Amino acid sequence: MRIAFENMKYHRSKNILTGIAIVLTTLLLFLVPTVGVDMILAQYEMTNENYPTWHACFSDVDQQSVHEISLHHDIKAWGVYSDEIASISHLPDRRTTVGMYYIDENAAELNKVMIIAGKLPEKENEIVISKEVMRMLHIDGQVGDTITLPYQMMTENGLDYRQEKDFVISGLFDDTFPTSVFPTMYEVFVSDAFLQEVNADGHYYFLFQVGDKENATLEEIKGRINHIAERFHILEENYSYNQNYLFANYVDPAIAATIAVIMMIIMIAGAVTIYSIYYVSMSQRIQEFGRLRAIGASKGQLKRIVLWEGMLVALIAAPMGLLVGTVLTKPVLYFFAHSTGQKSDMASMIELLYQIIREGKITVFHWWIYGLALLVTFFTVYISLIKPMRIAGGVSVIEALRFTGNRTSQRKRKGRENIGIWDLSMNHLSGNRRKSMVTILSMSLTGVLIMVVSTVLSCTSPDEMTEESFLGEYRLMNIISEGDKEHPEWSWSEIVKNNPLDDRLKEQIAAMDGVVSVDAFSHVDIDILSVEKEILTDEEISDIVAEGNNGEDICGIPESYAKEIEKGIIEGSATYEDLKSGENVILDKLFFVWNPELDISVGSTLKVAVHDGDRTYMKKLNVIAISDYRSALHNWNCLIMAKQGADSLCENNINEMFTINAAEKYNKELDDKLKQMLVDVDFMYGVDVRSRQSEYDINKSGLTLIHNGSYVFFGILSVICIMNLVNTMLNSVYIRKKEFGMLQAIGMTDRQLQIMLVEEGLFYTLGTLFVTIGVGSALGYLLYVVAKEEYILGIRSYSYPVQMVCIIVAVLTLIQIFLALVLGKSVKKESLIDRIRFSE
Amino acid sequence: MNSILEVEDLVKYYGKDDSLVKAVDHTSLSIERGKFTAIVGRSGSGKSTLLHILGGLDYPDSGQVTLDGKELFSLKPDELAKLRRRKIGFIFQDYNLIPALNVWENVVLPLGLDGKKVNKKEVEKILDHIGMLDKADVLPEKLSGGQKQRTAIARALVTRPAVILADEPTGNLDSHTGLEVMQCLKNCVKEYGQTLVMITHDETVAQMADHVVVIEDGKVVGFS
Repeated sequence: MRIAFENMKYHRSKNILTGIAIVLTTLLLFLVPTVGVDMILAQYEMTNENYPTWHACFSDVDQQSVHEISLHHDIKAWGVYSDEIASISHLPDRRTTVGMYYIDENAAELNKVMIIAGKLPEKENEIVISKEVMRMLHIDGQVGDTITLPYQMMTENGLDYRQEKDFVISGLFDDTFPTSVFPTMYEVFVSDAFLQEVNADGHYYFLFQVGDKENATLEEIKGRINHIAERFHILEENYSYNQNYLFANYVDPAIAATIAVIMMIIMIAGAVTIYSIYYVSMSQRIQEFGRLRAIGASKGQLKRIVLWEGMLVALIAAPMGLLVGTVLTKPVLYFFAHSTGQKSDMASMIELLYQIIREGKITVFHWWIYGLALLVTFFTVYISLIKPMRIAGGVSVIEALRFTGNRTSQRKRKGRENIGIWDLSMNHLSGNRRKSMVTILSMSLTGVLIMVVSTVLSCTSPDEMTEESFLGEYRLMNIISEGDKEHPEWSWSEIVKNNPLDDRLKEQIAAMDGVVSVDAFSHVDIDILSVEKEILTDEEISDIVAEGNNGEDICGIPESYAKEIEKGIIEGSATYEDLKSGENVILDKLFFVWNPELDISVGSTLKVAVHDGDRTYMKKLNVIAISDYRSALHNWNCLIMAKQGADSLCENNINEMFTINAAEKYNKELDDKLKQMLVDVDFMYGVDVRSRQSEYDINKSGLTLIHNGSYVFFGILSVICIMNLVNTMLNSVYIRKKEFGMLQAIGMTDRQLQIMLVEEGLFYTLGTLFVTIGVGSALGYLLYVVAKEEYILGIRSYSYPVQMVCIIVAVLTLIQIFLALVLGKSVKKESLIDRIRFSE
Repeated sequence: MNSILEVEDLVKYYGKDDSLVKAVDHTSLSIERGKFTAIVGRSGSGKSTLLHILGGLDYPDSGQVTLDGKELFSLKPDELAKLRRRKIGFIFQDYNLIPALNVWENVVLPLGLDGKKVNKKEVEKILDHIGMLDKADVLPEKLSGGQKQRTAIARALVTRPAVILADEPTGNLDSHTGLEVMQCLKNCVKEYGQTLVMITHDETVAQMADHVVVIEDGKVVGFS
């Protein structure tokens, strides 16, 4: 321990470098999980602020069951609200509805009903209403005022005749509820007494949270909810989860895994660097260890000296890393918040995150991350010391005392006739082949990583991403939400019955100023029942059909894209005409990514069940080609037909999307008009109106975030690996002090010494660049191919990261030249005669 | 006397106050061209410091050293380095060969540093002269002490410098090998008409010299 401590002081320069590497490693090991966890926490916080906090909801529960379920040991909080009792009538337009409900205090809290004045109703004639609803009804009231409301009771057969009743306002609530998909649906709340009077049925929605457990996963929580549902015989269609809230509050294993992988990368980079620093410096110390052995140190003692020396450095450096990390966390979080640009939806989300962090709504620092970072750092230092410990333990006395710095087993070597500065450099490097290789390889490791990631990043461009996913300048698309038990009307089979994207709307849009043309795309739900001869039994088929829509979709593409359809075919052949019959389909390559088990090729016949509203029928489709289209064209529906063909399969209006080609790239007026137009259309469905510009902004801010994050991360990682270069060069100068003295004594000038050092450094630089750029480019290309195949980040075309290569070349070269100059200067500091005498 | 090296009132002190060491103390000296001058003195008398200053390896506190009419310490460091490789050959007690270079490469290194092309025949002749021609490819680690020193001699001779400065070249060798090496050195110097200045402890070696300078406490106390 004592020797280790003295050693640490004696080999100061090496230990400072190791220290810097450890500080940076700890810094990254701390920053990555902290920033990751904080971003997630901020998002949770945001969700918690906005979303109701119940975990699950059982519907159609009678009073007796409410009592029984509420006693279940796993239920932490619960509340009930009634089904819609009545609907307020006399509203300004038909789109807007105001439902009348009973809600108890707990459910109000779980559902984030924000009472801003007064309290929930208790008496039969009390009501809680919002300012917005009163405004629509042209009423002006305060708590305690009596108002007259016209309403229609909800009966089994629909809404009853209108009636009126006087209500006393017991409370006001805020209904500017950001989660509401349809701002046209409002609520008022009445008392239980009112409910009892009008509705003998007494069935409720039962909202609840299950008991909290630290770090429960999403699946665990759902499992417990299912367990309760089972216990009380709640049918599957009668319960639903609060997906958004659950997702935001319970750990998603995938995020933890991502952070773990990044930490692994940091660990490896750190370990390789520290190992390499020790390995390179080891030879310098062989004599030292030999002497210790000569005076009786055991193998174990030598190993402990190396271990303790490393650990002492880590003991100083790791807390420094944590300190720097603590200081940097907030700036980094703000940097991420700001680097995403200001124009997009994303920016406003990030702005919220920023606020949450600034207002201290989340804990930014977590003691367990400090612990984890320390633990991983010490583990990293330990594994990087294993080999140097073994070398130190294996030093023999004789070997050490004979050691001259250049170990060679050669007796003779055919020399060069002339020998100059260049030959001297090369001689040194080839004499230290292993050390040079360790340095180059450990530096290249990070370099390759940077190259691979920057290749992928350079292949991403917001332009291309937008081009990949967007047709025309504007797009109207039906929002389809299958299997939503709260909103069965959002499923495709319901939307088609009253599809807002009809011909009338299409014509209206086409007539707008600035619109050049409107294209409609169709969508057909199907299930693939069998391929060719694998005929299923009738029973199996009816099972599949009974299970509902679990399968594929057909996209009907309009004729204006006929050329693109034909051009994107990669196997087989098809013309647009072939696709008009409704008998033939093209399969997009994406289909095979999703259905790797299906053995389908050009010429296969598919037996499918076609769903058209409530109707389902069987049909055979011929696969005539395989294609590779951008997702914009088929909108992730992998079976492709001409629009005419797809339409022929259904009686309903199956328009899924309108794409609008406009004269101008972006025109705010037109954008607003389109949005307004949808509000004016009388429908209850969701249509997403989006401009190419906003899609581009979203893509751009998302990519900027990824780019900046990656570059900051790799920037720090590069500094760690540059410590390697510094150490290797420092070491090679230190160990050869005497040699340099000799060379200068026989006439080497300072300039020549400088050149020699630059040449040697250049070798490391070139070697590192060769491996980094060579291997990095190859692996980068491979990853690009994978990303393209797997549809990651919208990557479609390859772009070589020229900029990054230039940066790597410039940075490495400059650092190396700088190092050589500084080292050359430091050599000169000592007098020539001292250097010749130097014999350590 | 036709002198090649002139030393005038040279001073070099180390340390301060109680620990002050007067390594060279107001020494003046003249070295005759083409002759062998031995510098003798007790350990710590300042011989090595004097030799290092003569060769421009170390700087004096005051005084002048003139080599062939050129004052050494008025030159810039790089000019001094050039002068060293052209005009001065060094031979050290512990050989100071570059371990990664073989005998031939070590010998021709000063030429390479000077950017000169190697005259192969000439170098072979030198190596032959010192009996190392058959060992041209061998690495220093595998040579005996005498062979190492002979290699160092060849290296000092290869640029045909006017002056050879040798710091106890036989100090690490047994007396038999030492004499052999001395003989070899003397012959070479004679053949090439060079000036040899050598520090030695060895009486026998000193007796081979044309002149002997005795140094004590940094001062010249005898010249013969």
